[in-house]
Amino acid sequence: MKPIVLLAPAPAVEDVFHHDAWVLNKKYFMGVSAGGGVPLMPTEISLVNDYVKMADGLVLTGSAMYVPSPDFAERIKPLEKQGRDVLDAALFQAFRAAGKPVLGICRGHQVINLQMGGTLDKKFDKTVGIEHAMHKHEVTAKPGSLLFSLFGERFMTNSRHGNRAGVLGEGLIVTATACDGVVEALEHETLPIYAVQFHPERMRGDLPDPSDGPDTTPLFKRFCEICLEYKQKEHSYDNLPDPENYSYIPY
Amino acid sequence: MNPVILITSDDGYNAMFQTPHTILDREYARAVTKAGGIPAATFDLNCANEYCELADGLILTGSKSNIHPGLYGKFLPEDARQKGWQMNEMRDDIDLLLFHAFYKAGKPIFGIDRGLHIINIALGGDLLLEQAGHHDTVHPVLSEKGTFIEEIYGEKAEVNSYHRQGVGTVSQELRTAAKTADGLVEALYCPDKPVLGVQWHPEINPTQKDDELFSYFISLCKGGAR
Repeated sequence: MKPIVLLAPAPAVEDVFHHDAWVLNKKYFMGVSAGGGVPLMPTEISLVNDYVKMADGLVLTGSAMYVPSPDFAERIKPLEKQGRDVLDAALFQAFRAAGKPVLGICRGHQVINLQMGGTLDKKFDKTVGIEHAMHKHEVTAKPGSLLFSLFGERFMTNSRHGNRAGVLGEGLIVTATACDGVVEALEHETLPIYAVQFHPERMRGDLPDPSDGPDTTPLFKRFCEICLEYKQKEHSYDNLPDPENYSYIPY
Repeated sequence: MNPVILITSDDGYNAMFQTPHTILDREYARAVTKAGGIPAATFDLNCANEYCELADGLILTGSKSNIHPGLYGKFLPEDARQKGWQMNEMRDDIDLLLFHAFYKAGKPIFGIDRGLHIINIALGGDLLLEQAGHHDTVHPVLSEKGTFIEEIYGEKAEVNSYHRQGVGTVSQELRTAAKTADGLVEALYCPDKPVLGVQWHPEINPTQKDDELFSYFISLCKGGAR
């Protein structure tokens, strides 16, 4: 049996008709698939409570958008603010309420921290610490954490972000950091909620990013195993959010 | 729960993030939702059987890419590059894998534009490599008597047209449901399975009839009568 894993998509305008669209790096599909899961892209905010019932896990993905040309730069903004931001928050709230596993990646890592009551440190100071934009660095994982068990105490990751987690959300524990203190991974004390600031979907295959990092396929495998473990449990859908009226902390 | 409808997402490249991406036109998802289905999209080669188990129906969508002619017994034209042909063999493989999984299981399949072409070639038909006069226009189609198109649209319908290829030889497993006045196949269906396809895009600026076409497909996915 394979777990169904939802991949929350990013906003786009498609090339042919210039309609509103959803976009995802294919590497998310490949990562989940290689981890033994069935990847699936949900599309409708109004149907989040149906999606949570049909799926066994959720991946909140990194920042992305796609427009056919720079002329569409303005049009993408409401798709992000009223589309993606709400869909991410609604999916997270529904999965949390149902007690189903969630993995946050990059922006998804920050979304989890925000929705758990933490803060987002937007466009943080780039003149101190180490480079986090389109680069790589070492991270140090905490003994006993998911990352420590898979990749050891110290390993290289990519780093592709301009925002970072600020004050920690309720129940979240820092499980990895960069040498300048940037929060690189989170786990929840009791719930199956995991988050990484780096992009494990890019750290697989023949041309991994970074080339000196570990193959992160085991992270997808472990997450899919956790989804299967939780699939066996009873899930209550009594506390799902109201699809007509989501309240959430804006990204 | 309402029927889950698997939708094939398209292939592309995102220069801003230098990533290979998959992109879904939200009009398909909106049309499915409006008709009472739960849309979910995929771009994957490994889970066709699981998708078939999970979903109640499959929608094969359009694309700017042409299906490789090698998949229906023809050859890539020498001047394909000059003519601006785009192709995507991974998309071809995904669509065909999903088609065969759902077809074998007897689950409903709805092909739109390129999806109609996939259905026809998957069942042994072929395509016209080029079809002039059908890109970015509107034209009438004539329904075949007793088909789902006649039932929904009546004898004659005005439809949009956004394609540069067309159905050639129709598969022996399929029947024509609509044609243009000059004989181009515009809709196909399987007489003994819930498989249907149209050449136009009923999800774009949908008329009431287009909405009914999606509702008809969703009713098939609920196990309704053909």
